[in-house]
Amino acid sequence: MINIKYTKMRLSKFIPLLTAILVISSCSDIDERDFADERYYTSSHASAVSSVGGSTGLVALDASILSYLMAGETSTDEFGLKAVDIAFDLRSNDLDMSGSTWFGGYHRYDNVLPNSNDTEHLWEFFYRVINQANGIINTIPDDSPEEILVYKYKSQTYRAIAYFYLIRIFQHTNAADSVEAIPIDFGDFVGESNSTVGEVKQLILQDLTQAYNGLQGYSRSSKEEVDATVVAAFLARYHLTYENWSEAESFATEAMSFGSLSSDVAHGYDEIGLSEAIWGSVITAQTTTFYRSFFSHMSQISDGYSGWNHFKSINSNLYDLIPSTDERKKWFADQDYDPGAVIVPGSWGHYNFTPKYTMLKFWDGPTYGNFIGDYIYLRNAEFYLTRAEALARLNRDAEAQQVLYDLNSTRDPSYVKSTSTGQALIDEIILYRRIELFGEGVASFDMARLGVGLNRQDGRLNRVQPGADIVVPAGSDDMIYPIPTLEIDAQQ
Amino acid sequence: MFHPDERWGIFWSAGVSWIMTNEQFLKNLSFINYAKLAANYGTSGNDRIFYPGTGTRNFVAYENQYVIDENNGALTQSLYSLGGREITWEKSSSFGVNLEMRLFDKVNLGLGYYSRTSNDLLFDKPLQPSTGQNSRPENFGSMKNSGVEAEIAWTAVENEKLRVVLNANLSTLKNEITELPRDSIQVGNYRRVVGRSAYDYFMVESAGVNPANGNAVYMTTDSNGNRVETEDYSDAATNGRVFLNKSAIPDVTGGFGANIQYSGFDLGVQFAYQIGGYGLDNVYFGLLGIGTEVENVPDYDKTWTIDNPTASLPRVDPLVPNQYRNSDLRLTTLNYLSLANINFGYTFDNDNLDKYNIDSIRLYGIVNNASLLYSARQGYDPRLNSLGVSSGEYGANRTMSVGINIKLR
Repeated sequence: MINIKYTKMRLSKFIPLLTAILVISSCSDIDERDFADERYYTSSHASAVSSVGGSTGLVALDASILSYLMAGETSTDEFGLKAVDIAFDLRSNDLDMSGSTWFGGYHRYDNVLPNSNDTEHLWEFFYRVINQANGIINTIPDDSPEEILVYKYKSQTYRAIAYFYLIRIFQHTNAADSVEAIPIDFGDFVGESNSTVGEVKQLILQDLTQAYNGLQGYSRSSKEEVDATVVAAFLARYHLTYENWSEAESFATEAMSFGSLSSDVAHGYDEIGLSEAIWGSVITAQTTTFYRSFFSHMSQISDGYSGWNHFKSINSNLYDLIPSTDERKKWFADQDYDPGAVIVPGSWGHYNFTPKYTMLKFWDGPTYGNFIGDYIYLRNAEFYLTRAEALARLNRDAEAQQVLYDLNSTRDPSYVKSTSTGQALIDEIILYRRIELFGEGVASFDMARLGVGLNRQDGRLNRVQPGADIVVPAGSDDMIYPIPTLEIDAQQ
Repeated sequence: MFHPDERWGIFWSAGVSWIMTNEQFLKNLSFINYAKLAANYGTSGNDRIFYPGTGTRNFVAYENQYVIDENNGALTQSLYSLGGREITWEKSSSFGVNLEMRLFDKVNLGLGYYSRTSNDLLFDKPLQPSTGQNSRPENFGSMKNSGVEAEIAWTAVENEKLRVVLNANLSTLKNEITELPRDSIQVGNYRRVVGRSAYDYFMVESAGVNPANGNAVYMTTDSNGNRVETEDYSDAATNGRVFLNKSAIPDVTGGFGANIQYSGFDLGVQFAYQIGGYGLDNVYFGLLGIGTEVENVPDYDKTWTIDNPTASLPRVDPLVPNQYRNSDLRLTTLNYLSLANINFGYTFDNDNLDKYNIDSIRLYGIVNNASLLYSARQGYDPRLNSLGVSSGEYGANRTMSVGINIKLR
């Protein structure tokens, strides 16, 4: 939620909307009230919105969750789902940051404390999503009409996404099902004790499965909404994480079939209209969170934090593994550039210099410094890699080689279909996951599921922030976050 | 404000006073010019509750509150804060007894005792954040505030030319939680339990510096319940927090001063002081924790270096964030002494002024917030925050003014 004090709420923005609701409604006291003159929005207003009839109230609650996933809280590094993506990529072996700024605690692993702001934020952000989703799920009876039930399925998806992040952030990904993990909330504002890993995983799978089945007949009006394809993508992620290879393979097949791959990889990934985008959020001049945004922190080209001597760069060892004919190599500066150099065609020069290995993958046009690039939460390319890996794990190597080829050949005209098999093939697929999905929030969760530790003392040549050149072994308690003190102190 | 069904409360008060010097048995004691004993008892209600962590009053804490906004053209509605439908008046009953006396025609003395018991405290009760909300307003527990107040004014010299009056006052406050429906409630660095004050620190305990390498050392509690040292702050923050038997409430606050008149001159000075209690000096320790350009911090020479292995403060190290984490190292005494204000003047009271219909003319100067004479360290001003939490702000402004008073006949 954008922290809007009641007295400062942007009344003018929604009055026309409410007026529009009034015109189509005639059956509530909403039309006798002038919200603009009231300082607080209380239960009576909420019920006024929901009693307008139809799904107006649910739409508002659903839109609020999407808005929260996009904009998050007020701090500069708390802008929803994409901020979590950045935070966790900065905990990986692949993405580095040359100076200390926002997200520095994640990068140096020094916010892994029960009382750090970041620990509290991760906890509160996802549980707020869960609470809002529960608020919808609990009010929709199972015998509701289909157009109402759709909102229940969508909320089950949001809830599952939130638990899926929580269970991997606050417990080891390979922890046994019997291990104590995190609370499951029922939306009644009564604190619960911790459930086990298995119970949380079961809830995630149940929510996603019900949503997947329930949304089969639903046709969404934009890529901002959740539909069965989005749910299939998360089912693919879930099953890949927990090594259910055949389920991962089939759901990945569905997710990768959405849209089409594009050979234009220099676009900047700032439009949900791109053929590779499955799900995202439109950002406009009105909804942008400016410097508190993905492109501000991740783009050297857009004029935000990254360009101000906090260069986000690729581990040079990974860079060296990208074939020189691969277009994806252009996502990173191939040399030091002077101020003003236009490195990516169609973009513009930055007034600061750009060191070698700086990430250039993300940028939002048409002009810099506006931060109106859309957020892409899911991209079909990921599920080519998911499917390829699942196939390889199922010993269907020929099919895996073909799927990997289908993706890579759109990036690298010289790419030759892999002849590797077994573990060598899996390793190749994982390498291309690290390249293709660079900066998209997958890297450190992959490390967790694959049992890979952090090693920034690997001779990398890109700029590494002093104090961040650490080694954290796989399975170390620093790899996950402790449950916040705030939660434990209130558990009585 | 409360729900319409909960808005009514009955509050009353009564007082009685007895001018003892009117009684025969005291009239013989000529050194007692005047004595009055007063007692009062009363009840009152409080309906002030704030949005958690803010100073913004929550006028509809009995209802859930929502943010209604828009996102890219879509109406959005989300829960902002939980309401407590049942909340009602926080009720206090106060008892006070007061003795006022004038002795030897020179000394005014006031002695008082007060005790105020508050029940059904209005409180944002912490919820587990996993519920999606961090608190809910409730009437919750009871608390007692008590203390003594004393003041004295002594006319030390009084004659045609010179008059000197000295004054002093002090008050004490003891705060105690007397009832709580839960074992404890943690609010920031304070933990509330029955028998302690609402502002007793419950936090990580510092164990000083490892002389071998300058690492910060903290105390934690091991699995057998023993207190042991650790350099792992996360361990201390998870397992090692304890009551430190330190409170943010000072033992005594008060003031003293003098008023002197000599001929046409007059001078008044007033001092203020506070003794006991601890505040968190986050600003000072935050500077050491940043670790860069710290040579500019005056106490850098008190931190551990190879050449100063017995230093009291941990090594300053920009690459090691655990060196200056939140712990009782930050607790700083709230003791202070300040010269609160000075005023001085000269009065012309001349018969020659009569022809201009002027009775007298006084020229004067006033200095308010003259100087903080003593505090635990330079830059730490316990007066700026009621709990002594430092912040990067300017101190109280010193104001100086001069003026002229013309009294017309």
